[in-house]
Amino acid sequence: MFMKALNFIVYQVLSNETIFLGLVALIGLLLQRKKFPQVIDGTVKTIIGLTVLTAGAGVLINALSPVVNKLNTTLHVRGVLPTNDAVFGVVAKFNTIAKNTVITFLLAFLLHLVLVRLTHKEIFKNTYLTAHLALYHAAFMNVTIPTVLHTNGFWTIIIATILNAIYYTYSPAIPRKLSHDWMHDVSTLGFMDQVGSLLATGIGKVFGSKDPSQDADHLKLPKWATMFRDNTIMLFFLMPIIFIGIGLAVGRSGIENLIGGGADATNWILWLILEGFQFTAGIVILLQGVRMFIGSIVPAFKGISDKFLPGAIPALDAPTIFPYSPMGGMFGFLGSTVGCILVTFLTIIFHSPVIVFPSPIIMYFDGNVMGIFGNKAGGWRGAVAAGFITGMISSAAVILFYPLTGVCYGSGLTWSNIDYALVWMPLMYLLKWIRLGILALL
Amino acid sequence: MKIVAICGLGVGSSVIGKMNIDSIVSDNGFDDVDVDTVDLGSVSGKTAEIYVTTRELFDNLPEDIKPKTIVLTNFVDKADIEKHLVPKIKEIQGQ
Repeated sequence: MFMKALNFIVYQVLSNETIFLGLVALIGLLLQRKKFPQVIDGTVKTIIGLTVLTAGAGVLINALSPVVNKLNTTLHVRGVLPTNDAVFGVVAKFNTIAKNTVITFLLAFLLHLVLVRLTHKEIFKNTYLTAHLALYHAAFMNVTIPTVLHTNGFWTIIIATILNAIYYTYSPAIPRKLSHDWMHDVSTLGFMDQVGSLLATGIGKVFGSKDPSQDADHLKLPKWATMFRDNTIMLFFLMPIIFIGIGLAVGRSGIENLIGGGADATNWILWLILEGFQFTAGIVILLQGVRMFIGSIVPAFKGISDKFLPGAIPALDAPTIFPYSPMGGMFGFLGSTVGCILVTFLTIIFHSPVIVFPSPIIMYFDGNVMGIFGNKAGGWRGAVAAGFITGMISSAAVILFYPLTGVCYGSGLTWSNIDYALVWMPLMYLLKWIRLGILALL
Repeated sequence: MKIVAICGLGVGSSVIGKMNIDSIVSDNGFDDVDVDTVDLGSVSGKTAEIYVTTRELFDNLPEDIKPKTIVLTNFVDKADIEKHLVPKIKEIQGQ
């Protein structure tokens, strides 16, 4: 009877990632001695938030999957749209991997705290608090490591935990050092762009000029360009273009085949536009879910970090640095948009086995971050060049790492930041070659 | 009373803002203050007495929200948030 109950708890209750993360929030809130209504609020919002996230993922996957599948079978390619939030939705649908992802996410954060505690160098005293990206990244590790190393769940979690903790601990020191003169160590960047910030600074120096008159923030940009700060508006315009692009590559008859026959069938172009809207709606729902649970998880992390690591500065999500150079960010966004679209055309023209669609995350979030570092190093030209070059690199790298993403390979979705190109893609190939090398020696 | 922190997606910097506002609220002993986060696109559907955002997003807010909005340089500087927010809360609570 006892064993039955234990089995039920371990294999049914705890192995469900929604309940598991709810318990984490519950314990975190209790440890912070929050009042009863707040504990209930945070726990409920975490559980329902994660459920809403999964529902939103369903909506966007239903919109994207049919057209991407059609593209893949028609042209014998693999079409992929790099979007962190969306691909996490794909991983969340695989129960065991999703649970291992949550465990990795927690262990990596705890090991990160220990590493920061042990370090004596001031520059490494940063706490990585961008919980949603840490969760998405834990998912990346849990699908790629089994592919490159053929590990089981246990060893995947161990390796992923160690690598992630090292990254969370040491990478925020790079932007901290680079931004010292303008962020004054108030906080640093804790995104997936920390190594990228070094590249952006280098590009800014090479292509830009230190002359203060070149500073992007001394220039005015047309009003319409700033409306893309609203994520929903950006996706509203971008997604139908991407869907029409895929539709044109598939061809009219293939798309009409998907819509189904009948005299009153929707016009194929209009149908593609509507699918783009549905994808956008899926992202809006998904982010609403993230918003619900992140509000409970981040304060829990911060509470633990404040107690355990006095004096550490927070490493935070990309938008926390946008105010330091709004126009530099805008120029980076424009540069990155051109770079990403160019890669899409090149993958089509040169018959790449993987066609990479322009990623809203790379163009907007990475583009802004790269533009800010580019502008600080070399003015507006530095910002445009940094956005353009890193946009191309981030998009092109997807061709190499998408095939390593296990259950997500073929889903049409993948991860989307410059550090996937600069850190994780090379690292995964290195691990793969190490394994093959050892096998060859044996 | 409701305070809403606004950022591009409502999942990153506004959450940091929310934590700072929560701790300012409890440090100053204000009662009945509820702090939430929202993305720029959903602001209109989120009623609150006070909105808090950063300067690069302010221009994009709906006109009727702007008079109720506190504009910050960033969500990280707690002292700066406190300087702007506390008088506003006192004004609304009629103290």
